[in-house]
Amino acid sequence: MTTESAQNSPSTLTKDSSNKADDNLIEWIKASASGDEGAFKKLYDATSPQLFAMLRRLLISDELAEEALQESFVKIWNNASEYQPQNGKARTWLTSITRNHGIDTLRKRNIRERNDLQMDPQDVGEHPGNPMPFALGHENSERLLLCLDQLSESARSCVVRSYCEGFSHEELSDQLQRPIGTIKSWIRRSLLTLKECLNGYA
Amino acid sequence: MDTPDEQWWDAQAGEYVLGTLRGAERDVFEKILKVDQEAFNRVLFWQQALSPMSENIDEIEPPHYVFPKITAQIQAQQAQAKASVKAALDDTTNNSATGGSTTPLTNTVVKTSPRRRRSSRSNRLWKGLTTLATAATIAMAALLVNTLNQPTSSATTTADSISIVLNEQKESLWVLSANSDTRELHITALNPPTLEAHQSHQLWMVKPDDAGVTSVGLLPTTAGTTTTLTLPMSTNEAKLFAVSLEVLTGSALAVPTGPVLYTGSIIPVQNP
Repeated sequence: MTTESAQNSPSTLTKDSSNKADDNLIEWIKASASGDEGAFKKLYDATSPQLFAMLRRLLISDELAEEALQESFVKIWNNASEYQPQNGKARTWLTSITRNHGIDTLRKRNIRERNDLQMDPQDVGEHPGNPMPFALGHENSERLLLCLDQLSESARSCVVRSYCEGFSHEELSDQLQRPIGTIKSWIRRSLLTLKECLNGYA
Repeated sequence: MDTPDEQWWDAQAGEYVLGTLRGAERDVFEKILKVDQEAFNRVLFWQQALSPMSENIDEIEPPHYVFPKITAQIQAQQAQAKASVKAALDDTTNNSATGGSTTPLTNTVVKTSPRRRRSSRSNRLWKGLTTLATAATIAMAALLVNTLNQPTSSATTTADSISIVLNEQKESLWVLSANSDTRELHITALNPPTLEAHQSHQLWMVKPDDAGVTSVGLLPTTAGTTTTLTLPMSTNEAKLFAVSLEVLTGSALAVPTGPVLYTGSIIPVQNP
């Protein structure tokens, strides 16, 4: 592939578009740090649908997700001056703040006392209705998917469900009917395998 | 190939980002992140690596009423900060004019509550306070306490140490002022974190050299309220204060049963 064609490939265009979108987020975060409420609203409009969807998936409750989204954006406003672009993408920073708040909410509330979260231990590789709960089309997504595919079904399920749905070791152990030590071991070994794989694509 | 030690840190950082690191282990790791750049970088790696699972998902528009609630909460914070700054400045002025003998120590320390504020004159002051390092904030509070103690005629009302319990954003949650002679500990709630109805925050004194902890009592839960507790030991014998999350009646054991969420260093105050 020539340099010119590489520059015009769909994945490159997607990457350019993604970078441009992140530049906008950076600009709005910086402006929010200076007290620009208009920029803060733009930041909210651009990111809240993704963050809200993530929180709903994590907290399994519209009410809790709305509350967590509210608290997360107050935190984003209060901490906007701490964002450092060299530490990663703006969207990832926003996602991390929101996910951490969601996880704290999980810690405080016993959200898992629900019947509809039962996983079938015979089918641990399946995520309900969606084996991989994220879309392809982005370079990072494809790379992560390729690396997740290197894990066993059980281990992959533990990683994906803990990240996406906030399952703890104990909950995974209960649901999958496997000893907690096995769950911990799956997760930690999976993380090391993932890191090695992801670094191989870097 | 990474060493076993590096692999352990990678896995620990990965579990932190996954969310499977919970309880005290998560609390401790978060404290490490504040001081260990290498651990922080490992977390950044995992945040970036796993982000497609959070970022490339089917979006759902939140209800229209959420954003107004966010702005209302921010405005309420700003109004509270403005009022706190005004009250603190008024207190300082009064103390300067009168010799300031009887103002409760903890009221004055309210001004060090570092919440970020914008779009007002007071914001600039708050920004200035917010940018102070924790140590500087505590030192400033100690100085204020010391200043206010000077004209006090009764030794029983004089604090000889103070402590500010901070959260991870370095916001002041409670201010503690202690008198070792009387064993009185005055506690003022500045911005106590919200609790569920069945929960409480319990204060502990942490002894040096891993010699264990001793319960002090339950902390006030409403901002602006003050409580006086009796210290189980002198502040000289303790390394720091710690706050754990407990059931409403506090820990049933002599040690925390919930996660230790916050700490506050004990700062001796020089009295004349």
